[in-house]
Amino acid sequence: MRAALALALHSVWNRRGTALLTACSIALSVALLWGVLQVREGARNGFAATVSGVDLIVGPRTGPLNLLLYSIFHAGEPTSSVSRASFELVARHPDVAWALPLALGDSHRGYRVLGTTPEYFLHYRYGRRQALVLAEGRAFAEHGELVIGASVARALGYRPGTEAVLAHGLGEGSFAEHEDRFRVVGVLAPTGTPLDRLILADLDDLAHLHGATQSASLTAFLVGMKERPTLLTMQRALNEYRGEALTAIIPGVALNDLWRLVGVADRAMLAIALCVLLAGLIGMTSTLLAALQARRRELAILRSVGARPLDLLGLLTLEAGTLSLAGALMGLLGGRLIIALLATPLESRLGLLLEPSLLDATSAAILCGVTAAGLLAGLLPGVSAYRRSLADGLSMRT
Amino acid sequence: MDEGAIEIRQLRFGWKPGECLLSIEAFTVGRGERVFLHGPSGSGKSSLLGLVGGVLLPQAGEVRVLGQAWGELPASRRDRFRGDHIGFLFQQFNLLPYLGLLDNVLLPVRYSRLRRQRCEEAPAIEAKRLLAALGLEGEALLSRPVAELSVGQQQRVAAARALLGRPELVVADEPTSALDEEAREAFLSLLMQRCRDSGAALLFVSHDRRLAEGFDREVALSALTAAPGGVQS
Amino acid sequence: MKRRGLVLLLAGWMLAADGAPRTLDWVELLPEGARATYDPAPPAPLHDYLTGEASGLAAQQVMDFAVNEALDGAEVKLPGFIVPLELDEAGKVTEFFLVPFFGACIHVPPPPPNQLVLVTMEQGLSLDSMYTAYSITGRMSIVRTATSLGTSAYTLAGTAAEEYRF
Repeated sequence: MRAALALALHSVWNRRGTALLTACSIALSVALLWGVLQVREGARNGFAATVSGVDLIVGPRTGPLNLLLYSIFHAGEPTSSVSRASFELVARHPDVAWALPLALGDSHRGYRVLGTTPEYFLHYRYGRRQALVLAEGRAFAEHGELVIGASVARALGYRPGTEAVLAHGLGEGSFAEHEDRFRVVGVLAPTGTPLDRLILADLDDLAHLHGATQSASLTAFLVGMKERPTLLTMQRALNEYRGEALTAIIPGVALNDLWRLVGVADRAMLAIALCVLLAGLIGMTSTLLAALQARRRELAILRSVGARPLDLLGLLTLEAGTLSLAGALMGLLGGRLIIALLATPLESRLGLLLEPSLLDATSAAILCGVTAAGLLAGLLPGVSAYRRSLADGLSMRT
Repeated sequence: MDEGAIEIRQLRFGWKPGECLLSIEAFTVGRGERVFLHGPSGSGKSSLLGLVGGVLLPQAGEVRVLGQAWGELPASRRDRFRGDHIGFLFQQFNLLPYLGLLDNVLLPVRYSRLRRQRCEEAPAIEAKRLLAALGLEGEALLSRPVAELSVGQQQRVAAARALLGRPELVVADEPTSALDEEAREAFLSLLMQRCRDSGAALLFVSHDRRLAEGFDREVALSALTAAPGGVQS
Repeated sequence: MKRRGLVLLLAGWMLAADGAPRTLDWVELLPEGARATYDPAPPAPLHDYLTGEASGLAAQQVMDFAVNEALDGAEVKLPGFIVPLELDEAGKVTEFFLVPFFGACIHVPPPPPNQLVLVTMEQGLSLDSMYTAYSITGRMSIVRTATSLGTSAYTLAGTAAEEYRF
């Protein structure tokens, strides 16, 4: 067996030009497959668990998915706003338990800043009604205080006491940087949701930065009713409100829609990726089959020194398996590299958090699966070699 | 030890049913005997070699090598037996381009434990000894890629491979046809000497009768086989 | 001997029958008295719910949403449409409203509180389309609330869900 493998390796090395091409085509398809699986993983991780216990999200007149994306996932760009007055009106309502105002638009070193009130830490839930927990420090209470998410703290090395300057807009930095310095007072425990990449500040502090004493407009606000059944009535009332053009959505409904959308997309992507992999394997098989004609001499020599037809089958199957393994390894490494390059833009544009690891079950499964598929694909030229060697005998017709 | 190296009796062979390419009443090659088989290309000599080598099976009659009839062995055992007892030499392109010179010579011991055991010293050392006896030595030469060797050198490497591990029978199919005049004679004498040394029988097939000198016996294939009309040899 | 056996059998069957969920019609969620005037069409929208003022007749209807007390603790099976509220990590809906008509959260006014059930399902429901109706089985409970829309509401601890075909 080891001898057969050595022979196969020598054979592949001898044809390393074409072998490399074949391995590359498999590598590409493996990279694509792995990439698709990572994106699917990232899209699902913490996705549905991002928000819990929020009855309504209220924003300006806009599409429901858009509102969900920027108010909960902090992705996308809010283009209009709701008035503070509307927020106050809802917050005062007897059926409403709490209301959290949200203001997006500032950033710090690429991380989004969310302006809100200290009540956010009391009422915001994620997962299964899980409350926010502070790993270090406390919520903001005075002017100029910030609370940061776990990933922000880890990436920037911030702790309570660290000072930060906020920039206007959402770029990596900004030429319109604010004068005031902010100070980190708390770090959130990891949640596995986009909250980890968020910086929280006081709503009025941000308004102050923009030249107002108090913010007159909000990006959106979150509402919790005292009794859930009343939310449908409140939703309708808000959508019909004559005082301002508002959109009120139910997070569960919007999340479910988005989930189904993502599901359709990623099933389609997965199917395509598998087809591409199949194409790569078929390409390899046909290359090996085509080369068989030129290898008749070699196969006859091997039979003349006592190789059994099964040995020839094994030789070709191992060659295919080796090429597939090499291709799969290259593909996984290549895919990892590409994801590393794309991670930041994907995250800031789509709120898609990718944390690819090559040392997990998925990679192992791909490696084993592709190699096995390659071995199987190698059976075709292998069986052909088997049959030919029987038919050729030892004839050495040129 | 009475059995000859090759014994053929009442052989009938054809590629298609009803076709009869070869029809041989009797043919033997004794142990250690060197036989020159004269036959032009297309006369069925390739098929005969295939039958002798146990790669092809006759429609009728039997072919025995060292007393073992090929027909009595299952397919995989035939391959084993071939690897254990026969060394082959072809006209050209004998070597695997992706193995080194020494690895090419060592091929038989990859597949035959018997031949590995028959090597007195380590197979690699035995191989080098054989190569030296065939006029090929020196690290510089031995480390050259196979494709860079001359035809004559390649044939000698193939001869070393055929002889490694002392197989009882060497079958050579026109091994000198691709060589020039001088190289031909030299190669032939080297091959004969090595066969004598190891006690191997040699079945040498060629269309060039001038090479028949030095062999124990010369046989014409045409004399062996019946003509399509059915004339006995 | 035979008669006793028959009685036991009957008693056992009745006990078992008591446990089997009872398929409900939405009208049964209304108290007996209100069923005669029941209009399955969605009610007129509430004006000025936001500002806290409800006007005239509409206000009367709003305040009058009593429930059918007999359903408290009953094992029921009720078909309806789903309005998802909470999803678990696998994307399954674990908390939702069950309503008698489609579109309650989009373009149509919501049903009155006694035509609305808040369902919690631990194992979650994979909701492929909100256009599909489902039959939800579970134990119905009536909870006391204190909102401007009434004083009681239906909740259901769901144990099974299956697609409902019209």
